Amino acid sequence: MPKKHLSKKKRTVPRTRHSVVDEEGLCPTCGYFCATLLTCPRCGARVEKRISIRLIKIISVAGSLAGIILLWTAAHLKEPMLVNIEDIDEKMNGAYIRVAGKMVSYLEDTSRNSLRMKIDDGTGQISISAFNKLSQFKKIHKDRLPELGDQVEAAGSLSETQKFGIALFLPVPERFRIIKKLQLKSYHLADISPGLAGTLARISVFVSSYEKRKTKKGIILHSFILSDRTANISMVLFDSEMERIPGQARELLFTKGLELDMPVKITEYKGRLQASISDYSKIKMIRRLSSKEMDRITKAGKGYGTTGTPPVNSFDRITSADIGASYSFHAIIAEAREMGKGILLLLDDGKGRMEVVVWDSLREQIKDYGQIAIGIKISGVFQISEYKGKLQLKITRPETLHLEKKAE
Amino acid sequence: MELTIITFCVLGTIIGSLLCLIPSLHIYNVAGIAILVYIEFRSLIPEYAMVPFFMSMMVAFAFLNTIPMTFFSAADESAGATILPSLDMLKNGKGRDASLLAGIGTLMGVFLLVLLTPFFYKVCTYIYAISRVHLHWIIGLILVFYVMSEWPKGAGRGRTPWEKFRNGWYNLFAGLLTFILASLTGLILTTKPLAPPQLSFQNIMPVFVGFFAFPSIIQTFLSKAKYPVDQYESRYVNAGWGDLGYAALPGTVGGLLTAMIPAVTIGIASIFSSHITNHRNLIQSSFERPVEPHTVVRVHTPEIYYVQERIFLIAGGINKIIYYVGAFLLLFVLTDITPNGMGRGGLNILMKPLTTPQKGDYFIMLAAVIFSSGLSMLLLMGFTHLVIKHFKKLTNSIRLIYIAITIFLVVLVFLMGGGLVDVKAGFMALLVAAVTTCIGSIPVFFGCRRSHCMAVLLVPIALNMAGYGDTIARILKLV
Repeated sequence: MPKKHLSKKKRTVPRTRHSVVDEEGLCPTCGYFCATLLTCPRCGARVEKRISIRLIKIISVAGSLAGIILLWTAAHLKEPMLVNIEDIDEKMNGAYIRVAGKMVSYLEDTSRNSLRMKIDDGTGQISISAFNKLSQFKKIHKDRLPELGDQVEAAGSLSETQKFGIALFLPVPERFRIIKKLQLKSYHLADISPGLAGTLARISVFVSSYEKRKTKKGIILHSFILSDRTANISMVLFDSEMERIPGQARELLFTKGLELDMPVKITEYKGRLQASISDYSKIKMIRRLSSKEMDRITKAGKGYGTTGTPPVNSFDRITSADIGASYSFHAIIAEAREMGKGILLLLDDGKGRMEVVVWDSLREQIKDYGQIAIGIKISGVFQISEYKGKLQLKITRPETLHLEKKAE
Repeated sequence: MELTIITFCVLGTIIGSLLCLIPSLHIYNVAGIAILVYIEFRSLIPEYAMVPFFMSMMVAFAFLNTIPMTFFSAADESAGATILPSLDMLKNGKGRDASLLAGIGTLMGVFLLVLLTPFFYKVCTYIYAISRVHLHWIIGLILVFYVMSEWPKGAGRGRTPWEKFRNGWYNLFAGLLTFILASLTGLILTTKPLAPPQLSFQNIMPVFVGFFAFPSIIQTFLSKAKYPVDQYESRYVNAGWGDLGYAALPGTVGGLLTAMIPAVTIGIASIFSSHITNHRNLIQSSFERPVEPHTVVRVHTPEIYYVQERIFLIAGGINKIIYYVGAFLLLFVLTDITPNGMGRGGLNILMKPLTTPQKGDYFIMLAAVIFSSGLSMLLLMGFTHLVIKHFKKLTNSIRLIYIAITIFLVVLVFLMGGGLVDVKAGFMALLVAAVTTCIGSIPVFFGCRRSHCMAVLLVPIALNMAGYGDTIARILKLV
């Protein structure tokens, strides 16, 4: 049958802007706005002309997956910024940063499995806390645990409050590393000068006396005198600190006649130098001293004083056993001979003679350097050293040298 | 001093009100900018007035944010508490009611905050102290319940089992995908934040702008929905005292959940509170024969929908004020058990480096809240009237408005996300926002809950509190 051509009916209603109905997104049965839905949520009819957002959906899902990978890559490649502690301000709250500096405090709290450290980077100090991470920290760092004085670096989240200041949280123990271990320098007590206050040192001493006393305010203090063959130094501990000393360290401190090797921090209190043990776990016994030896060390020589004032000695009593020790001497310049970069002096204290080189580099540090001449009295602290098998004096503390001025 | 505090309260209310009218702009973004300004001009603004200023801004936001959410569909996460019925009411010409009901709820929430003061001091402190070590599993349970409470869905439509399964699970799987992607995003960004340290206090801003603001803007551009221009106005609001009473409990329960548990926001809390306090306006019918003897048939009446609509809006308003304002107010509850307060929320994190609560500050803050609420309610009524009066012009130029807002938000994300410090950091912030926009678009266009995006905070917080932060870093190779 031939197809009938359908005649187009003439529109009787004029087409105006308002009579055109946008059916997109509307339910054909009830007219409810279904937007992107396939089925009308009100009447259940199939929506023929739904708003197509298929492309948006594809972009959302694909963009999310690709974006997550991008974000992960960016995070993986990111290195936290190294920040000076003095530059930290309120806007940095929650920042992921890196700080590097010297470890000045290290406290383990085994009951809470937590760790607290303090780092000083030269511009300020910041405390670093690792809550519930101590065992993990020890497992990762094993036998390279940080110690006081080590140069360390830590990356973590900054927490800033007006009340407690700034702190760094270390949620991932792997983000802590030791840049350089501190090699503690060993000192004789006589060589410890006020210039060393605040530094860490290693000393080999024995406990020559112990006293427990109470202050006027009722605070209990435990006073130790640590001695070696050159001088004494005091160590004072509060009662609360005494309680925290591990058992083994306490036993070593309270056992008489033990020469101990210990890391200490040199501090100053009312002008007098003091020692405080920086790490109790590092106290080691070197040897056991006999009571004769202890007596000889404690009673030998007059002027046997506390650190900073080495005992007065005379040249005739110096032996090779004194190499490295420092003593105070009073002598007269018997001879003076110019050499390449200094002056070789022969000193005579009336009981013996010893040589000392006054290097040109010490010129600025020795008061009255220009007075050096034969017959001038010289006094000060000298260290016993050896040069080509011969005992000599060495100037280690030029500020202590005193030259008597020539009579006009 | 009192006059200075009042002046800054007024200033905060006005600034907060004006800025909150901008669709898609969140108060925490505004607070971030304000903090930057404060740090630069610290000597000019006294600290004792700074905190009431921010509190007033927060109060103004809690009230006036209703306007863009209701009239311009500018949904943030808290919109889950109010937006669904309000959009429906707007379509039926009752936009004014929607706005004012939410406002009344918010005002009621302020009174509840005052009444809850003894509860905060005497009970909340114990709840806080006991719950803080258990928060990780509490948040875990919240996540499980939140995800599972969306199941099942679908009306069994489809001819084959596969079609029925697809119909039922299509958007639920989209929700799960959103949840997983948001969790991954949060884990990556909390393990190794990409924001520059100098602007880290706003490092979460690009994430949230991407999750909530941009998808809403895209939706608005694509939407062809037309709202009736004739929005009716009257001297009255269509609600009764009973509605206020019914709404008090879910609003308070939801609000306290948001105030006490970190990262739980209004959308999530409102789901919980509605489940906890669910009550149906059921009428017992006696003319239908019951199936089981000695029981009655209960029917839903059409009225139930409208009652629940009103309760939803009012409760959402209460929820909002307790979430935004109450959570910050708890920072000032200083007792022996809580010597540092119980503050939660974004403003608490922003303020902590700048201020320390002192004893007695609580009542100053409460007074600031009450004062600012009164002003904000009046502003809400005024602005609602203005919006309705010019609704036709606004809806006709809605695309232009949103283009301007989009440009503004892009610039804001670029600058506050890192561009102020480094151009590369600014582009990184835009990348983060782009990724989260894609993720945030999934619930919008696949029809699932937008609150799944909150997994960006909930999952990392729960895992970190449980002590698995370093494990996650190792698994993700982000050490």
